[in-house]
Amino acid sequence: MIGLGFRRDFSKELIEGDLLKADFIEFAPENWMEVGGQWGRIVKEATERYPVHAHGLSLSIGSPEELDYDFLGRIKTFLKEYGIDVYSEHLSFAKAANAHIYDLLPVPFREDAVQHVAKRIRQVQDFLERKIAIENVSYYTPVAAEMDEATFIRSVVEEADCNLLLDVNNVYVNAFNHNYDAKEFISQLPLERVVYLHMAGHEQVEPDLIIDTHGQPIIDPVYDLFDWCIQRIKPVPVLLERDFNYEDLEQMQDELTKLKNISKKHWEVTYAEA
Amino acid sequence: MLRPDTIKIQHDLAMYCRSGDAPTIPGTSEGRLPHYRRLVLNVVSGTISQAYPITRKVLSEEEWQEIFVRFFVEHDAQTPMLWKLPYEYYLYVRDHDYAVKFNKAWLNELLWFEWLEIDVHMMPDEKHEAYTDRGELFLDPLVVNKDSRLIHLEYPVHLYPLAEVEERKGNYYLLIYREQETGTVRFVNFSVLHAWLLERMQLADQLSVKDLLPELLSEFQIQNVDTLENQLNKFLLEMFDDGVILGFRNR
Repeated sequence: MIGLGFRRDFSKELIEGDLLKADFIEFAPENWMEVGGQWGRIVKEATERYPVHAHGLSLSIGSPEELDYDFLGRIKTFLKEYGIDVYSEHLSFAKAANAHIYDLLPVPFREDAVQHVAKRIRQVQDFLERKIAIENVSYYTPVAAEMDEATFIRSVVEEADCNLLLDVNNVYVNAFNHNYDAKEFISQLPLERVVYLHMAGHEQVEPDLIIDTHGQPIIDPVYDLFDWCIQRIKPVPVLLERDFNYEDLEQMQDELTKLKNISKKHWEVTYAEA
Repeated sequence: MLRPDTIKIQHDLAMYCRSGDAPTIPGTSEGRLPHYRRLVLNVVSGTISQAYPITRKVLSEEEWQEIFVRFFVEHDAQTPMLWKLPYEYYLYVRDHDYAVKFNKAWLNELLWFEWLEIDVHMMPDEKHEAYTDRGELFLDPLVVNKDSRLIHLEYPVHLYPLAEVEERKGNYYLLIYREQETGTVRFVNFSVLHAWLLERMQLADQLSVKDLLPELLSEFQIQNVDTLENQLNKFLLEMFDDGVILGFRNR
Protein backbone atom coordinates (compact mmCIF):
# COMPACT_ATOMS: atom_id res chain seq x y z
CA MET A 1 0.00 0.00 0.00
CA ILE A 2 1.40 3.37 -1.04
CA GLY A 3 -0.30 6.37 0.52
CA LEU A 4 -0.20 10.13 0.43
CA GLY A 5 -0.33 12.72 3.19
CA PHE A 6 -3.70 14.49 2.89
CA ARG A 7 -3.30 18.22 2.31
CA ARG A 8 -5.92 20.87 1.59
CA ASP A 9 -4.28 21.97 -1.63
CA PHE A 10 -4.86 18.68 -3.40
CA SER A 11 -7.74 17.29 -1.30
CA LYS A 12 -10.26 17.83 -4.12
CA GLU A 13 -8.05 16.01 -6.61
CA LEU A 14 -7.62 13.09 -4.22
CA ILE A 15 -11.36 12.79 -3.63
CA GLU A 16 -12.77 13.56 -7.06
CA GLY A 17 -9.93 13.31 -9.52
CA ASP A 18 -7.93 10.47 -10.99
CA LEU A 19 -4.53 12.09 -11.26
CA LEU A 20 -3.34 10.92 -7.84
CA LYS A 21 -3.63 7.20 -7.20
CA ALA A 22 -3.07 6.56 -3.54
CA ASP A 23 -3.96 3.34 -1.73
CA PHE A 24 -4.55 5.21 1.51
CA ILE A 25 -4.21 8.69 2.96
CA GLU A 26 -2.80 10.12 6.16
CA PHE A 27 -4.34 12.90 8.25
CA ALA A 28 -2.63 15.08 10.79
CA PRO A 29 -5.46 15.07 13.36
CA GLU A 30 -4.53 18.58 14.51
CA ASN A 31 -5.48 19.96 11.10
CA TRP A 32 -8.72 18.08 10.61
CA MET A 33 -10.35 17.27 13.93
CA GLU A 34 -13.42 19.16 15.15
CA VAL A 35 -13.85 20.85 11.79
CA GLY A 36 -17.20 21.37 10.07
CA GLY A 37 -18.60 22.98 6.96
CA GLN A 38 -16.77 22.48 3.70
CA TRP A 39 -13.68 20.95 5.32
CA GLY A 40 -15.76 18.69 7.52
CA ARG A 41 -17.45 17.34 4.42
CA ILE A 42 -14.09 16.81 2.76
CA VAL A 43 -12.82 14.81 5.75
CA LYS A 44 -15.92 12.65 5.58
CA GLU A 45 -15.65 12.11 1.82
CA ALA A 46 -11.96 11.30 2.11
CA THR A 47 -12.56 8.72 4.83
CA GLU A 48 -15.30 7.16 2.72
CA ARG A 49 -13.01 6.84 -0.27
CA TYR A 50 -9.71 5.85 1.37
CA PRO A 51 -8.36 3.88 4.31
CA VAL A 52 -6.92 6.50 6.66
CA HIS A 53 -3.88 6.64 8.93
CA ALA A 54 -3.44 9.42 11.49
CA HIS A 55 -0.07 11.01 12.17
CA GLY A 56 0.07 13.47 15.06
CA LEU A 57 2.04 16.68 15.26
CA SER A 58 1.36 18.24 18.65
CA LEU A 59 1.12 15.53 21.28
CA SER A 60 4.74 16.30 22.16
CA ILE A 61 5.52 12.83 23.37
CA GLY A 62 9.07 13.84 24.34
CA SER A 63 8.03 16.89 26.31
CA PRO A 64 9.18 17.36 29.89
CA GLU A 65 5.66 18.52 30.73
CA GLU A 66 2.55 16.54 31.61
CA LEU A 67 0.71 14.76 28.83
CA ASP A 68 -2.25 16.74 27.57
CA TYR A 69 -5.04 14.27 28.30
CA ASP A 70 -7.74 16.64 27.14
CA PHE A 71 -6.11 16.80 23.72
CA LEU A 72 -5.47 13.07 23.74
CA GLY A 73 -9.14 12.50 24.45
CA ARG A 74 -10.08 14.62 21.47
CA ILE A 75 -7.67 12.63 19.30
CA LYS A 76 -9.29 9.43 20.52
CA THR A 77 -12.70 10.79 19.55
CA PHE A 78 -11.39 11.74 16.10
CA LEU A 79 -9.89 8.28 15.54
CA LYS A 80 -13.12 6.62 16.64
CA GLU A 81 -15.36 8.92 14.62
CA TYR A 82 -13.59 8.08 11.37
CA GLY A 83 -12.63 4.48 12.15
CA ILE A 84 -8.89 5.14 12.02
CA ASP A 85 -6.79 2.24 13.31
CA VAL A 86 -3.24 3.48 12.79
CA TYR A 87 -2.02 6.40 14.88
CA SER A 88 1.57 7.53 15.02
CA GLU A 89 3.54 10.39 16.57
CA HIS A 90 7.08 11.73 16.54
CA LEU A 91 9.98 10.89 18.83
CA SER A 92 10.50 14.55 19.60
CA PHE A 93 8.99 17.37 21.62
CA ALA A 94 6.89 20.26 20.38
CA LYS A 95 5.95 21.81 23.70
CA ALA A 96 8.11 23.03 26.56
CA ALA A 97 8.18 25.96 28.96
CA ASN A 98 4.37 25.85 28.88
CA ALA A 99 4.17 26.69 25.20
CA HIS A 100 3.63 24.91 21.92
CA ILE A 101 6.44 25.49 19.42
CA TYR A 102 4.77 23.98 16.32
CA ASP A 103 7.96 22.26 15.25
CA LEU A 104 9.64 19.00 16.17
CA LEU A 105 12.59 19.53 18.51
CA PRO A 106 15.05 16.73 19.28
CA VAL A 107 14.89 15.00 22.65
CA PRO A 108 18.32 14.63 24.30
CA PHE A 109 19.57 11.09 23.68
CA ARG A 110 19.86 10.13 27.35
CA GLU A 111 18.78 7.27 29.56
CA ASP A 112 16.44 9.39 31.68
CA ALA A 113 14.78 10.61 28.48
CA VAL A 114 14.40 7.00 27.32
CA GLN A 115 12.55 6.10 30.49
CA HIS A 116 10.47 9.27 30.45
CA VAL A 117 9.41 9.03 26.81
CA ALA A 118 8.76 5.28 27.01
CA LYS A 119 6.52 5.81 30.03
CA ARG A 120 4.55 8.49 28.18
CA ILE A 121 4.15 6.28 25.12
CA ARG A 122 2.81 3.52 27.36
CA GLN A 123 0.38 6.01 28.91
CA VAL A 124 -0.79 7.10 25.47
CA GLN A 125 -1.20 3.49 24.35
CA ASP A 126 -3.20 2.67 27.47
CA PHE A 127 -5.41 5.70 26.95
CA LEU A 128 -5.99 5.09 23.25
CA GLU A 129 -6.33 1.34 23.81
CA ARG A 130 -4.01 0.54 20.94
CA LYS A 131 -0.36 0.34 20.09
CA ILE A 132 0.99 3.44 18.46
CA ALA A 133 3.97 3.87 16.15
CA ILE A 134 6.75 6.30 16.92
CA GLU A 135 8.68 8.04 14.15
CA ASN A 136 12.40 8.72 14.08
CA VAL A 137 12.76 12.45 13.40
CA SER A 138 15.33 14.49 11.54
CA TYR A 139 17.50 16.79 13.65
CA TYR A 140 20.11 19.37 12.84
CA THR A 141 22.27 19.37 15.93
CA PRO A 142 22.84 16.87 18.71
CA VAL A 143 21.44 18.06 22.02
CA ALA A 144 23.38 16.99 25.12
CA ALA A 145 23.52 13.42 23.86
CA GLU A 146 24.80 10.66 26.12
CA MET A 147 24.09 7.81 23.73
CA ASP A 148 23.87 7.44 19.97
CA GLU A 149 20.62 7.99 18.11
CA ALA A 150 20.03 4.37 17.10
CA THR A 151 20.45 3.20 20.71
CA PHE A 152 18.07 5.92 21.83
CA ILE A 153 15.36 4.96 19.35
CA ARG A 154 15.76 1.23 19.97
CA SER A 155 15.65 1.72 23.74
CA VAL A 156 12.54 3.89 23.65
CA VAL A 157 10.63 1.61 21.30
CA GLU A 158 11.52 -1.56 23.20
CA GLU A 159 10.96 -0.04 26.63
CA ALA A 160 7.57 1.34 25.55
CA ASP A 161 6.68 -1.81 23.63
CA CYS A 162 5.41 0.31 20.76
CA ASN A 163 5.78 0.11 17.01
CA LEU A 164 8.25 2.00 14.86
CA LEU A 165 7.39 4.33 12.01
CA LEU A 166 10.60 4.42 10.06
CA ASP A 167 11.08 7.63 8.11
CA VAL A 168 13.67 6.67 5.53
CA ASN A 169 14.24 10.25 4.42
CA ASN A 170 14.89 11.29 8.02
CA VAL A 171 17.54 8.60 8.29
CA TYR A 172 19.15 9.88 5.11
CA VAL A 173 19.00 13.49 6.32
CA ASN A 174 20.48 12.65 9.72
CA ALA A 175 23.18 10.43 8.23
CA PHE A 176 24.21 13.30 5.95
CA ASN A 177 24.03 15.98 8.64
CA HIS A 178 25.79 13.96 11.31
CA ASN A 179 28.11 12.02 9.09
CA TYR A 180 27.11 8.44 9.75
CA ASP A 181 26.26 5.47 7.59
CA ALA A 182 22.51 5.29 6.93
CA LYS A 183 22.39 1.55 6.27
CA GLU A 184 24.38 0.74 9.35
CA PHE A 185 22.04 2.98 11.33
CA ILE A 186 18.95 1.23 10.00
CA SER A 187 20.48 -2.15 10.79
CA GLN A 188 20.71 -1.14 14.44
CA LEU A 189 16.99 -0.37 14.72
CA PRO A 190 14.37 -2.89 15.88
CA LEU A 191 13.21 -3.57 12.34
CA GLU A 192 10.77 -6.26 13.46
CA ARG A 193 8.72 -3.43 15.01
CA VAL A 194 8.45 -1.36 11.81
CA VAL A 195 4.77 -1.09 10.84
CA TYR A 196 4.88 1.94 8.61
CA LEU A 197 7.35 3.81 6.39
CA HIS A 198 7.53 7.49 5.49
CA MET A 199 9.27 8.90 2.43
CA ALA A 200 9.76 12.55 1.49
CA GLY A 201 11.93 15.10 -0.21
CA HIS A 202 14.31 17.52 1.46
CA GLU A 203 16.45 20.56 0.73
CA GLN A 204 20.20 20.94 1.07
CA VAL A 205 20.73 24.46 2.45
CA GLU A 206 24.46 24.32 3.21
CA PRO A 207 27.29 22.09 1.98
CA ASP A 208 26.95 19.97 5.10
CA LEU A 209 23.31 20.53 6.06
CA ILE A 210 20.00 19.18 4.77
CA ILE A 211 16.67 20.46 6.07
CA ASP A 212 13.77 18.01 6.09
CA THR A 213 11.34 20.25 4.23
CA HIS A 214 8.91 17.80 2.60
CA GLY A 215 8.80 20.34 -0.18
CA GLN A 216 10.79 18.67 -2.95
CA PRO A 217 10.67 15.40 -4.85
CA ILE A 218 12.41 12.40 -3.31
CA ILE A 219 16.00 12.17 -4.55
CA ASP A 220 17.54 8.98 -5.95
CA PRO A 221 19.83 8.21 -2.97
CA VAL A 222 16.73 8.16 -0.74
CA TYR A 223 14.96 5.81 -3.17
CA ASP A 224 18.08 3.63 -3.06
CA LEU A 225 18.01 3.60 0.73
CA PHE A 226 14.32 2.73 0.63
CA ASP A 227 15.04 -0.10 -1.81
CA TRP A 228 17.73 -1.43 0.53
CA CYS A 229 15.61 -0.97 3.63
CA ILE A 230 12.46 -2.74 2.53
CA GLN A 231 14.44 -5.90 1.81
CA ARG A 232 14.97 -6.10 5.56
CA ILE A 233 11.45 -5.59 6.83
CA LYS A 234 8.06 -7.19 6.35
CA PRO A 235 5.66 -5.48 3.93
CA VAL A 236 4.13 -2.38 5.51
CA PRO A 237 2.25 0.70 4.25
CA VAL A 238 4.47 3.40 2.73
CA LEU A 239 3.56 7.08 2.76
CA LEU A 240 4.72 9.94 0.57
CA GLU A 241 4.79 13.22 2.52
CA ARG A 242 4.62 16.53 0.71
CA ASP A 243 3.93 19.72 2.65
CA PHE A 244 4.27 22.37 -0.05
CA ASN A 245 5.18 22.88 -3.73
CA TYR A 246 2.10 21.04 -4.94
CA GLU A 247 2.00 22.54 -8.41
CA ASP A 248 3.06 19.42 -10.23
CA LEU A 249 0.69 16.66 -9.18
CA GLU A 250 1.83 14.43 -12.05
CA GLN A 251 5.31 14.52 -10.61
CA MET A 252 3.90 13.54 -7.21
CA GLN A 253 2.10 10.65 -8.87
CA ASP A 254 5.40 9.62 -10.45
CA GLU A 255 6.83 9.41 -6.94
CA LEU A 256 3.93 7.25 -5.78
CA THR A 257 4.40 4.99 -8.81
CA LYS A 258 8.11 4.68 -8.21
CA LEU A 259 7.54 3.76 -4.55
CA LYS A 260 4.99 1.18 -5.63
CA ASN A 261 7.33 -0.35 -8.18
CA ILE A 262 10.18 -0.66 -5.70
CA SER A 263 7.84 -2.14 -3.10
CA LYS A 264 6.43 -4.66 -5.57
CA LYS A 265 9.90 -5.68 -6.67
CA HIS A 266 10.82 -6.89 -3.20
CA TRP A 267 7.67 -7.54 -1.27
CA GLU A 268 5.66 -9.39 -3.86
CA VAL A 269 8.63 -11.59 -4.71
CA THR A 270 9.21 -12.32 -1.04
CA TYR A 271 5.61 -13.30 -0.58
CA ALA A 272 5.53 -15.40 -3.73
CA GLU A 273 8.54 -17.34 -2.52
CA ALA A 274 7.00 -17.84 0.88
CA MET B 1 11.89 10.81 35.97
CA LEU B 2 13.71 13.31 33.85
CA ARG B 3 16.89 14.74 35.36
CA PRO B 4 16.67 18.46 36.14
CA ASP B 5 19.42 19.20 33.62
CA THR B 6 17.52 17.35 30.87
CA ILE B 7 14.41 19.36 31.65
CA LYS B 8 16.45 22.56 31.56
CA ILE B 9 18.00 21.65 28.22
CA GLN B 10 14.59 21.08 26.65
CA HIS B 11 13.25 24.24 28.23
CA ASP B 12 16.25 26.27 27.00
CA LEU B 13 16.02 24.88 23.48
CA ALA B 14 12.31 25.72 23.25
CA MET B 15 12.86 29.20 24.68
CA TYR B 16 15.73 29.80 22.27
CA CYS B 17 13.39 29.11 19.36
CA ARG B 18 11.21 31.94 20.61
CA SER B 19 13.67 34.46 22.04
CA GLY B 20 16.83 33.85 20.05
CA ASP B 21 18.85 33.95 23.27
CA ALA B 22 21.56 31.39 22.58
CA PRO B 23 21.41 28.63 25.17
CA THR B 24 24.37 26.78 26.65
CA ILE B 25 23.58 23.22 25.72
CA PRO B 26 26.36 20.64 25.62
CA GLY B 27 27.06 19.17 22.22
CA THR B 28 24.98 21.55 20.15
CA SER B 29 26.30 22.95 16.94
CA GLU B 30 26.06 26.73 17.24
CA GLY B 31 25.74 27.27 13.52
CA ARG B 32 22.78 24.94 13.24
CA LEU B 33 20.63 26.08 16.13
CA PRO B 34 19.39 29.15 14.21
CA HIS B 35 17.71 26.82 11.71
CA TYR B 36 15.31 25.71 14.43
CA ARG B 37 14.44 29.29 15.28
CA ARG B 38 13.99 30.15 11.61
CA LEU B 39 11.68 27.18 11.05
CA VAL B 40 9.53 27.92 14.10
CA LEU B 41 9.38 31.61 13.25
CA ASN B 42 8.31 30.88 9.67
CA VAL B 43 5.50 28.60 10.77
CA VAL B 44 4.07 31.02 13.35
CA SER B 45 4.60 34.14 11.25
CA GLY B 46 2.97 32.54 8.21
CA THR B 47 -0.02 31.38 10.23
CA ILE B 48 -0.65 34.77 11.81
CA SER B 49 -0.13 36.74 8.60
CA GLN B 50 -2.49 34.51 6.66
CA ALA B 51 -5.16 34.79 9.34
CA TYR B 52 -5.09 38.59 9.44
CA PRO B 53 -4.50 39.83 5.88
CA ILE B 54 -6.36 43.13 6.43
CA THR B 55 -4.66 43.95 9.73
CA ARG B 56 -1.31 43.02 8.17
CA LYS B 57 -2.01 45.48 5.38
CA VAL B 58 -3.27 48.41 7.40
CA LEU B 59 -0.64 48.38 10.14
CA SER B 60 2.74 49.79 9.29
CA GLU B 61 5.58 47.29 9.02
CA GLU B 62 6.99 48.60 12.31
CA GLU B 63 3.66 48.22 14.09
CA TRP B 64 3.09 44.73 12.75
CA GLN B 65 6.59 43.60 13.66
CA GLU B 66 6.40 45.11 17.13
CA ILE B 67 3.28 43.16 17.97
CA PHE B 68 4.34 39.97 16.23
CA VAL B 69 7.83 39.76 17.72
CA ARG B 70 6.56 40.39 21.26
CA PHE B 71 3.79 37.85 20.77
CA PHE B 72 6.26 35.30 19.44
CA VAL B 73 8.66 35.78 22.34
CA GLU B 74 6.27 36.40 25.24
CA HIS B 75 3.14 34.46 24.49
CA ASP B 76 2.90 30.84 25.69
CA ALA B 77 0.89 29.26 22.89
CA GLN B 78 -1.67 26.90 24.39
CA THR B 79 -3.52 25.41 21.47
CA PRO B 80 -2.15 22.19 19.97
CA MET B 81 -3.98 23.11 16.77
CA LEU B 82 -1.91 25.60 14.84
CA TRP B 83 -4.86 27.03 12.90
CA LYS B 84 -6.36 28.21 16.19
CA LEU B 85 -3.25 30.15 17.21
CA PRO B 86 -4.54 33.36 15.55
CA TYR B 87 -7.28 33.48 18.18
CA GLU B 88 -4.59 33.63 20.88
CA TYR B 89 -2.92 36.37 18.86
CA TYR B 90 -6.15 38.40 18.89
CA LEU B 91 -6.42 37.99 22.68
CA TYR B 92 -2.77 38.96 23.11
CA VAL B 93 -3.19 42.18 21.11
CA ARG B 94 -6.38 43.05 22.93
CA ASP B 95 -4.96 42.35 26.39
CA HIS B 96 -1.78 44.34 25.71
CA ASP B 97 -3.66 47.48 24.69
CA TYR B 98 -2.11 47.89 21.27
CA ALA B 99 -5.26 49.66 20.12
CA VAL B 100 -4.40 52.44 22.56
CA LYS B 101 -0.64 52.28 22.00
CA PHE B 102 -1.01 52.64 18.25
CA ASN B 103 -3.94 55.02 18.51
CA LYS B 104 -6.07 52.69 16.41
CA ALA B 105 -9.25 52.25 18.40
CA TRP B 106 -10.66 49.78 15.85
CA LEU B 107 -7.72 47.37 15.99
CA ASN B 108 -9.24 44.83 18.39
CA GLU B 109 -12.50 44.65 16.49
CA LEU B 110 -10.76 44.30 13.14
CA LEU B 111 -8.74 41.36 14.47
CA TRP B 112 -11.84 39.84 16.01
CA PHE B 113 -13.78 40.18 12.76
CA GLU B 114 -10.96 38.57 10.78
CA TRP B 115 -10.65 35.75 13.31
CA LEU B 116 -14.40 35.06 13.31
CA GLU B 117 -14.30 34.56 9.57
CA ILE B 118 -11.88 31.66 10.14
CA ASP B 119 -13.73 30.44 13.21
CA VAL B 120 -17.08 30.27 11.43
CA HIS B 121 -15.50 28.71 8.35
CA MET B 122 -13.98 25.92 10.46
CA MET B 123 -16.42 25.48 13.35
CA PRO B 124 -18.00 22.05 13.85
CA ASP B 125 -21.43 21.58 12.31
CA GLU B 126 -24.13 22.50 14.80
CA LYS B 127 -27.14 20.25 15.09
CA HIS B 128 -30.31 21.88 13.78
CA GLU B 129 -33.89 20.90 14.49
CA ALA B 130 -35.57 19.20 11.54
CA TYR B 131 -37.11 21.82 9.29
CA THR B 132 -39.25 22.23 6.20
CA ASP B 133 -39.68 25.00 3.63
CA ARG B 134 -43.44 25.22 4.21
CA GLY B 135 -45.02 26.99 7.10
CA GLU B 136 -46.40 30.18 8.55
CA LEU B 137 -43.81 32.91 8.89
CA PHE B 138 -45.16 34.29 12.16
CA LEU B 139 -46.85 31.25 13.61
CA ASP B 140 -44.29 28.48 13.19
CA PRO B 141 -41.00 28.38 15.07
CA LEU B 142 -38.17 29.20 12.66
CA VAL B 143 -34.89 27.31 12.52
CA VAL B 144 -31.97 29.75 12.52
CA ASN B 145 -28.57 28.79 11.08
CA LYS B 146 -26.45 28.01 14.15
CA ASP B 147 -23.19 27.76 12.22
CA SER B 148 -22.77 31.40 12.99
CA ARG B 149 -21.67 34.09 15.46
CA LEU B 150 -23.86 37.08 16.28
CA ILE B 151 -21.66 39.97 17.36
CA HIS B 152 -21.75 43.61 18.31
CA LEU B 153 -19.08 46.03 17.08
CA GLU B 154 -18.47 49.66 17.96
CA TYR B 155 -16.40 50.28 14.86
CA PRO B 156 -17.84 49.26 11.48
CA VAL B 157 -14.62 47.64 10.26
CA HIS B 158 -16.68 45.42 7.98
CA LEU B 159 -18.50 48.30 6.27
CA TYR B 160 -16.24 51.30 5.73
CA PRO B 161 -12.62 52.13 4.97
CA LEU B 162 -10.63 52.07 8.22
CA ALA B 163 -9.89 55.79 7.87
CA GLU B 164 -13.60 56.45 8.43
CA VAL B 165 -14.55 53.95 11.10
CA GLU B 166 -13.58 56.02 14.15
CA GLU B 167 -15.91 58.85 13.18
CA ARG B 168 -18.64 56.29 12.55
CA LYS B 169 -18.39 54.77 16.02
CA GLY B 170 -21.76 53.38 17.11
CA ASN B 171 -23.60 50.14 17.60
CA TYR B 172 -23.30 47.66 14.78
CA TYR B 173 -24.80 44.19 14.94
CA LEU B 174 -23.89 41.50 12.50
CA LEU B 175 -24.20 37.82 12.01
CA ILE B 176 -21.22 35.98 10.57
CA TYR B 177 -22.54 32.69 9.27
CA ARG B 178 -21.71 29.74 7.10
CA GLU B 179 -23.98 28.81 4.22
CA GLN B 180 -25.21 25.28 4.71
CA GLU B 181 -24.84 24.20 1.09
CA THR B 182 -21.54 25.76 0.07
CA GLY B 183 -19.74 26.31 3.37
CA THR B 184 -19.10 29.90 2.27
CA VAL B 185 -18.82 32.42 5.11
CA ARG B 186 -20.98 35.53 4.79
CA PHE B 187 -22.06 38.30 7.08
CA VAL B 188 -25.25 40.29 7.35
CA ASN B 189 -25.90 43.54 9.24
CA PHE B 190 -28.80 43.97 11.61
CA SER B 191 -30.57 46.67 13.52
CA VAL B 192 -30.54 46.17 17.26
CA LEU B 193 -34.16 45.01 17.07
CA HIS B 194 -33.39 42.37 14.48
CA ALA B 195 -30.33 41.24 16.39
CA TRP B 196 -32.45 40.89 19.52
CA LEU B 197 -35.08 38.88 17.68
CA LEU B 198 -32.54 36.60 16.02
CA GLU B 199 -30.80 35.91 19.30
CA ARG B 200 -34.11 35.08 20.98
CA MET B 201 -35.06 32.80 18.09
CA GLN B 202 -31.75 30.98 18.49
CA LEU B 203 -32.14 30.59 22.24
CA ALA B 204 -35.86 29.82 22.36
CA ASP B 205 -36.11 27.63 19.30
CA GLN B 206 -39.57 26.34 20.15
CA LEU B 207 -41.11 29.79 20.05
CA SER B 208 -42.57 31.42 16.97
CA VAL B 209 -42.16 35.09 16.07
CA LYS B 210 -45.75 35.55 17.24
CA ASP B 211 -44.78 34.10 20.64
CA LEU B 212 -41.85 36.48 20.89
CA LEU B 213 -43.75 39.54 19.76
CA PRO B 214 -45.08 40.71 23.18
CA GLU B 215 -41.58 40.60 24.66
CA LEU B 216 -40.20 42.44 21.65
CA LEU B 217 -42.87 45.15 21.82
CA SER B 218 -42.16 45.65 25.50
CA GLU B 219 -38.38 45.59 25.11
CA PHE B 220 -38.42 48.26 22.41
CA GLN B 221 -41.55 50.07 23.60
CA ILE B 222 -43.24 49.82 20.23
CA GLN B 223 -46.86 50.87 19.87
CA ASN B 224 -47.52 50.41 16.19
CA VAL B 225 -47.81 46.64 15.81
CA ASP B 226 -48.93 46.65 12.19
CA THR B 227 -45.92 48.59 11.01
CA LEU B 228 -43.64 46.31 12.98
CA GLU B 229 -45.21 43.17 11.56
CA ASN B 230 -44.86 44.47 8.02
CA GLN B 231 -41.27 45.29 8.64
CA LEU B 232 -40.56 41.93 10.31
CA ASN B 233 -42.20 40.11 7.44
CA LYS B 234 -39.79 41.72 5.01
CA PHE B 235 -36.82 41.04 7.31
CA LEU B 236 -37.68 37.37 7.83
CA LEU B 237 -38.11 36.75 4.11
CA GLU B 238 -34.71 38.30 3.47
CA MET B 239 -33.20 36.07 6.12
CA PHE B 240 -34.70 33.05 4.37
CA ASP B 241 -33.17 34.17 1.10
CA ASP B 242 -29.78 34.73 2.72
CA GLY B 243 -29.68 31.33 4.41
CA VAL B 244 -29.77 32.82 7.90
CA ILE B 245 -33.16 31.20 8.53
CA LEU B 246 -33.11 27.63 7.29
CA GLY B 247 -36.80 26.81 7.43
CA PHE B 248 -39.88 26.16 9.52
CA ARG B 249 -39.42 23.81 12.38
CA ASN B 250 -41.17 20.46 11.87
CA ARG B 251 -44.14 20.11 14.16
